[in-house]
Amino acid sequence: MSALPMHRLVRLIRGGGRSNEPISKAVKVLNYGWITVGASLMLSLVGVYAIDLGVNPERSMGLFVHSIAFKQLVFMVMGLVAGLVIALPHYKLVSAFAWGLFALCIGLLVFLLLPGIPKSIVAPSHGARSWINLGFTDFQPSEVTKIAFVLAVAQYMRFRSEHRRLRGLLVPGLIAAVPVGLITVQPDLGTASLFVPALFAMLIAAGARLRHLTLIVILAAMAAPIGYQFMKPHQKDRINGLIKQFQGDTAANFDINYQSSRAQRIIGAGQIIGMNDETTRAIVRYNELPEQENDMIFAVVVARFGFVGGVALILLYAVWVGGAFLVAASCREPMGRLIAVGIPAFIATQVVINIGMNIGVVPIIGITLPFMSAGGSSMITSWLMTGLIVNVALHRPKPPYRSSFEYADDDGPDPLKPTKPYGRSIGFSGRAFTR
Amino acid sequence: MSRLSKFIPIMFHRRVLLLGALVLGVFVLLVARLGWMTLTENGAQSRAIAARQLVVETWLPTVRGTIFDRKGRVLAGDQASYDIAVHYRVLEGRWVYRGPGGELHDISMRGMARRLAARANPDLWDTLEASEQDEISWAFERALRDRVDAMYREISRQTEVELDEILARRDQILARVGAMKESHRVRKRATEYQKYKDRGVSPSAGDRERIEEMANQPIAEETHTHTLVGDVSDEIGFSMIRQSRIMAPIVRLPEGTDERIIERTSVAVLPGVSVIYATARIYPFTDVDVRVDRSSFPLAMRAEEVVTLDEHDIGSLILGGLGKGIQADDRPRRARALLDDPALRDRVTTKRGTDRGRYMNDDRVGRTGLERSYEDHLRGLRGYTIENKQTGDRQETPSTPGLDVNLTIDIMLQARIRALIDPRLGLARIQSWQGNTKPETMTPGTELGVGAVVLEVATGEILSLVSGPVAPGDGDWGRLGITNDAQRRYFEQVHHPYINKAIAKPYPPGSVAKALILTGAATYGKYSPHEKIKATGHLYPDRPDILRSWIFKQYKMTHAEQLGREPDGVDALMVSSNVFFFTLGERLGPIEIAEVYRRFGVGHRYELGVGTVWPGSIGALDSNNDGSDLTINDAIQLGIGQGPVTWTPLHAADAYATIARMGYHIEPSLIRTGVAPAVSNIGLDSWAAVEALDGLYAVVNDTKDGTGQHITFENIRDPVFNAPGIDVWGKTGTATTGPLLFDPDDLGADGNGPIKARIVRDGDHAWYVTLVAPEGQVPRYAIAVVVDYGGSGAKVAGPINNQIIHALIAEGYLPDVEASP
Repeated sequence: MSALPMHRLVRLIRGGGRSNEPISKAVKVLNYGWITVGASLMLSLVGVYAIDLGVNPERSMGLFVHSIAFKQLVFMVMGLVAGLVIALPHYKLVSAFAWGLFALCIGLLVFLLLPGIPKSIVAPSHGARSWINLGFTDFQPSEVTKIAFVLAVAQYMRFRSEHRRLRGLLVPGLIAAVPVGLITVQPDLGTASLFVPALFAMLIAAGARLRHLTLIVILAAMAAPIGYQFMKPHQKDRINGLIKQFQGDTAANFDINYQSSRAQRIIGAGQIIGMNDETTRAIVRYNELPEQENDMIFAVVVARFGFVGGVALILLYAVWVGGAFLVAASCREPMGRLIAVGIPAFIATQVVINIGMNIGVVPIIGITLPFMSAGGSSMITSWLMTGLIVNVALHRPKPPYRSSFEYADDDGPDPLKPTKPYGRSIGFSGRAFTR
Repeated sequence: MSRLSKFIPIMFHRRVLLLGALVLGVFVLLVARLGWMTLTENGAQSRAIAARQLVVETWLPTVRGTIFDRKGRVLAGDQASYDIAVHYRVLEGRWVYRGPGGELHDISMRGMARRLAARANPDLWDTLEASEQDEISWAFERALRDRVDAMYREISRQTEVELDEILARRDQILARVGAMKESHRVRKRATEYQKYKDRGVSPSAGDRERIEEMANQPIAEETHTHTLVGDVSDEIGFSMIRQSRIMAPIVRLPEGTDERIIERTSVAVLPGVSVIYATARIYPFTDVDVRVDRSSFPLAMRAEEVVTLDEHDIGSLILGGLGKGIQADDRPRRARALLDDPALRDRVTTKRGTDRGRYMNDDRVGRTGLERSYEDHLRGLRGYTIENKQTGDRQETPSTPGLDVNLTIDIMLQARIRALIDPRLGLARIQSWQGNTKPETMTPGTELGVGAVVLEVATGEILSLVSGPVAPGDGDWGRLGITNDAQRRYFEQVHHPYINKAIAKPYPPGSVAKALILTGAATYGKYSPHEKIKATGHLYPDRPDILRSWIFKQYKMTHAEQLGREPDGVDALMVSSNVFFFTLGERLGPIEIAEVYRRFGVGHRYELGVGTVWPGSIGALDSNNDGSDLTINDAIQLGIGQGPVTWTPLHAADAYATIARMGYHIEPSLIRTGVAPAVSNIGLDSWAAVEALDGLYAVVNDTKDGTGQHITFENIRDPVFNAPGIDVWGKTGTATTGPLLFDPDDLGADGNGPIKARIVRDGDHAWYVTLVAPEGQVPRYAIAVVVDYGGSGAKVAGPINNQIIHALIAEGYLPDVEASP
């Protein structure tokens, strides 16, 4: 093999620059990132099986091969490869493209909404303009926007402290507002709703004052009724349907609450340890669970494996999120830290909303379950996220880096001043950079 | 520094821990909710509901019980047939299709058209503008509507029912279901709003919306099929079944179109059509051709030529009929029946308590006659299959046919008697030789209504219950010569064709009651054996204008003069002496004479199970029939069967049979139950019964003085009864009654009386009640005949009664002396 590509690869892994250090010094092979990989793998495999349960009532191998379950397996492999590709180059190099990638994603989101775009390129699906037809497949820009958003916010905040002040939250808010607004207009309220919790998580991790964030949450809650008025009829219907369900009105189970009520029925049917394979397939089929391979995949898993299986699944996601937070905690560099907080925030929010939809505590807003719901974009994006976590875990922070987010929580003479210098006292070029 | 800061000095770590705790907390809440759904009773309920979807329960059709006559002929039975039904949603202009699990869904025509258009152009569809999509969809929608129109035409062609008729039936169904839906909507709203009222709160706008949604939920009738053409043959049924399974492309697609597209754009050739295996109720003996031998007719009508009459609706008033579709009271009535009858409940319910004979929409239900009164008995029990969609296991409980009903009626005897009273034959028409006393109204040829009963003395079984004329069961009034509504109204008011005159129309007994009075008076000690009572011609010596014997009225002579002796009971019956029986009535008085009538069944409602039955009455209709409201004058009148007393031909036959049994009463029965009939003794003195029978025998057989012995025609005394080898006991009756008014406008009476009403029937009802037996034997059958406004019992009712005897001979109940070697 030619030495040149290998040399370039090594430079990518190191994150650029020249160094005579062995590569083993630049990477931490044993790291918490593998926890997320393990969890991702298990979730993906369970997802393939669950999709097959939902779409292959005859349990026929022939049907499996031709069904979306097999496609999901292929997407899983593609996701693994994508994750590997994004995990290798130092995240510092990746984040160098953060703003560019973010701008590109915003551009694509704008493109989706432009009038006059032929339907052969942007075809509405379920009433939303969310997909671009690439010919060989459909591509959902909002999925990649999640990653670009995390990178962009991390890039913005990594060396800043303005977010410690209330007005310092404005810019991160604006960064979030752009993709949230564009995605809401598609309309894809579900995906749009994921960005705000991710932003909040990154702000919390970055040291924003908790009372500022609490104030914002309270103001948002107070403004929610006003926001309700601007919702589309079907969105209002879904919220009303949820309220009716809590009121015990089962009449809506035949229309707006149909999907949720069927999912809840199938989940309940799982009881403690679930039903056998054959019975589960029959139950899912004859109870006519909509989106059984997609938004309601969790219901299929619980039907098969019961409460035990449902808890195990939630535990796997907890392990994934926990693994990512461990990566964040073990990372000393602000960019890596924010990436390792922002990404799991997206995953956790998506999991909570999707499972909430299935168990009837959240209205149906069309959110998939990461690693499990059928769909190439979702699977590949989820693995890209895993790849980024592994990236942060794998690579040692490359100097120069500054102290990251060490402040007195609420008091102190200068809220912006970090309380503790952080960083290697013997760092880049022998000089320590402290503030 | 806080305590946490001591353990976790790095702020970032504390914040990450906070985030982790937040995530974990939310996950714990999700787990808690999951646990509530799966581990509690909710899980078990959900499992049960989910599992139920795997099981398909299908009811299997059943067969209604058969009604047989006494000789085992099928009078009413089920015959397999098919109904051609169409789903309601298609009838109302929508489309139906089957989902992946076989379940039926409905969709608007436009919606279906769009789906098909998209399937026909899968690659292009999403790229088209909305207006282009609409245009293509419209073409598909037209094709769908054409398919539905073709479906109606095909049903019309196959079943040979006019298309207009089919469309009219469709409109009727839509109107009926629409009305039901509106009624449901109104009721639902009222019920829901009442709940708020009861709680003392006002419903919010959201509540109102919810109530409207609930009220607008589809009703059952909107979700299933409705029969357009029923009772089609196997051939048509099978043909329609085959066609209903065929799918064909809705539009012609270009050559070379992918097979999958062709398949996905194919829809049913007969949208919404279901062929339902049904059963038709047949009544094989409804229409019978009867040969009538007129050689034994009254001399004036006698003929050697045998005529054949096509008789219709034989036994229809007894058997009744079914109606399609349940009514509001059917389910509650059945529920009550199950509650009241443990034996029925045990027979019809499954182990889980489901009534296998439960009513479902479009069921056939007995509406009139025995079909109604024996509904729970005749109703078959559905079988059911339980199929597990997952395992394919199938359990089947076969259906159970309904129980049969065996009648005491002989349908061929019934048919013969119907033919006898057919106006075409002439016996049930005014004849000029009968000397009717109301010639201005009862002109020759006037059709007469008749009620007749044949009762077996030994068992009380009813062999025949005939009434005529009856309304055409098939609605063909033209058969009766009725061509318009006015004629039909006239016919209905004059003849009461819906009432069985043998059991449900009240008649004054007239002189036929005299046999009862004689035996009753004897029993009460008011008459001694062969006691002679002075026949004065009129009861009150100083009042020759009232309470007179017919012979005095007509000939100004007395029966004593006629007979050459004062009459005793036998004579009095023979000559039908009014004064004799006025005297007995006077002796008995109101209370005892009422008791006499009651002992013979007047005031008793026969439980025959064929609908309306007149129980008879003594005194005012709302009295207790105990004579407490009667005067002595009433009692006197009652002595000759006039005054405030009514009964039916069945009462008459029953009373005479009781006399024949020497006072032992057997309740008349229409249904053979296998249980011996109840016998009771009404307490007649045997000698009185014998004397009465002697008198009755003399009526028929005394050639000189028997009032019912002959008909004089052109100076020839033609015996009323001419069946050789048959002994007949009997009594004529000419029961005075008021004229019948016809009100053409059905306006009834105003303060000044009926408007434009005119007398259409006048005179007396003609009775002849007989007991018949083979010569030398005790009475075997009781026959009661009454002819509305017929006048003379001997001349009008007598010939009919005679022909009934001949019919009994023809059916083998009496010996045919002429035929035997």
